[in-house]
Amino acid sequence: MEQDLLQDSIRRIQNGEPQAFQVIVEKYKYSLFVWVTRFLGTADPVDAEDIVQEIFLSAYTHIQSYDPAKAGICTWLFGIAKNLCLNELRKQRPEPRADFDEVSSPNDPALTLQQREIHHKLDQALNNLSPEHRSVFILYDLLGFSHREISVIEKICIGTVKSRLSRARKELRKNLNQYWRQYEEKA
Amino acid sequence: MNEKERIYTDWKTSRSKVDLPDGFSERVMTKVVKQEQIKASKSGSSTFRSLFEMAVRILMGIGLSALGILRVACLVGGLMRP
Repeated sequence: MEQDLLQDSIRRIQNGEPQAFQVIVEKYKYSLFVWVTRFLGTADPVDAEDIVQEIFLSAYTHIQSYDPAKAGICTWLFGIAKNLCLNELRKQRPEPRADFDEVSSPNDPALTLQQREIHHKLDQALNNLSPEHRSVFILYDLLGFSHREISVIEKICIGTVKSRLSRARKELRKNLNQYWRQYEEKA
Repeated sequence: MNEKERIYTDWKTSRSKVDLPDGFSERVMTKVVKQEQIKASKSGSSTFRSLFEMAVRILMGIGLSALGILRVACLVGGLMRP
């Protein structure tokens, strides 16, 4: 049903009805915001907004070349997102990673100071992963994409997706264990 | 689940959420419509330009032909002059 609506919207956009693009924006804006924010580690939502807007505008410009037989609209959009964000990272080099603790869990009363510290350390560990590992981790563990979908977005085989995911998790776990030891020692 | 695992799971859950800026979709759609208008005006001006170029080419052709006829007429007139 939802797929039909999306396919219909794409057909309408391709036939010169720009208003139909709103369906695509509404459907994917949230997951694209999560991906861009976590992938770039942007502390300022305005920065993420500029990039997500650019992703949508680029998708709209190239929608005539989109072929549903080749990829789902979601994987196609994330493919555009990945290219734009990698360009953004190249511009930012050396990667100035923001403390996005302030953005992600601002003043969450449920978190203790130690928990917040560990979350912050995990953010830093995520930012220190290579873009390839970070991307796969965000897509799978945070956004719930399948291995197959990630393999299409990243243009890699499923085996490589799994190995990157495993490496990313291992690295984050290593950091978590390290901070957890420090936390227990303090306690 | 021990506390460490819980903190890790909480972290993943919190990082899978963001606060979307208000009016984001409207801003995107405004840009999309603007982009479409620019594209339409560009294609309109390019149609006018190609029509104008074609008219200039036709007029130049007519002018050159008239000059050729005049030249031939002068030559013929000159030859015919006693």
